[in-house]
Amino acid sequence: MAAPESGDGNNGAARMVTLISSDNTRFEVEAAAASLSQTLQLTILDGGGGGGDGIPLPNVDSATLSKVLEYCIKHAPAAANGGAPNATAVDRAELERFDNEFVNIDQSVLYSLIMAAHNLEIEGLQSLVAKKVADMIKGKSPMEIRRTLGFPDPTPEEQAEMNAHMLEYGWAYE
Amino acid sequence: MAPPPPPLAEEIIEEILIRFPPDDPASLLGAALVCKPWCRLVCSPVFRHRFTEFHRRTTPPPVLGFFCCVSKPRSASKDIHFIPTSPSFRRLPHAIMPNWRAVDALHGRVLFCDMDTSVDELLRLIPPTAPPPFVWSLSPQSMGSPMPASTHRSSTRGECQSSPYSSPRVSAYPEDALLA
Repeated sequence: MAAPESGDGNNGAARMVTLISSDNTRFEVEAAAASLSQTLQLTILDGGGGGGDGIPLPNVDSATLSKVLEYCIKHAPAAANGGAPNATAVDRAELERFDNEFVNIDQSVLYSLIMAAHNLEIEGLQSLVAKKVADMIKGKSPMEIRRTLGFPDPTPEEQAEMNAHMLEYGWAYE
Repeated sequence: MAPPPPPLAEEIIEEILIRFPPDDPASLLGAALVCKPWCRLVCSPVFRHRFTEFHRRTTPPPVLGFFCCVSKPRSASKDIHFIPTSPSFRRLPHAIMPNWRAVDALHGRVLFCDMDTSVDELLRLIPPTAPPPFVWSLSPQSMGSPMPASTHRSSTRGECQSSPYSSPRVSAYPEDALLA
């Protein structure tokens, strides 16, 4: 008659996977959190990353991976609900607050983070960091943008070209 | 001293630039001047299409400014003033030329008539280098003469599907002789 109450198909413990950073640090996280990465999702679905194996991530160092996983762990429950259509306003506000604080970090970390999000194909994280970087550089002059992003100084040729453009379009910065 | 970071992949740059505010197109112009790869990216039709689509999903097309026709006291002539509503245009050189008159708008572009010169120099497009979405609000009242309904509707679109001047509607204007 009544269905068994514990029949959710799980043994209670969430499945864990191990990720290995470029400097050989091992991170054990829930598969649901790591699966926010489209790159890792297929490997995890195929049963990879469990046991002692681990999934090597040669392009991501431990400091960056730790930050990436902090994001994934926070966002995994909402993602599991299919974008959280039934999430409460409080939940959404909490995630927004987390996101705002999350990107309030040193620029070099931000830089590593956006590359990692791109490599691991974590759409939400990439979008979040891209927005932050866009906010940092919008409205700045070309030279200010170059300095902000740590570009090397322009070559004399590039500088001459920029000067010519500024003569023509300088009114946009007055 | 930390080594300089490796250059960001073009896909990442695109993700960043696509999030620039649509109501301040001068900021994209600044980005286009950072280096040649950025310029190629911002100028590419693919980027412009994505930029338009990205912002269309979230925000209504921005109004960057409008043209206003002001009558001079004790004179039949009128001045066209550009009134900016975006930080990009504190001053728009072409729009304040006293001898230019905005006569039409289509697909987000404005048609000017140079009242002092010949027919050959009649057409001017602004802004020639700016990316879409470019929306210019051009109301009939502000022009001092009736605007064709189709033209007014077209001026609120962010994207051209065909040549902007494939079928200019000019019959309502006193400058017909010049435009013919």
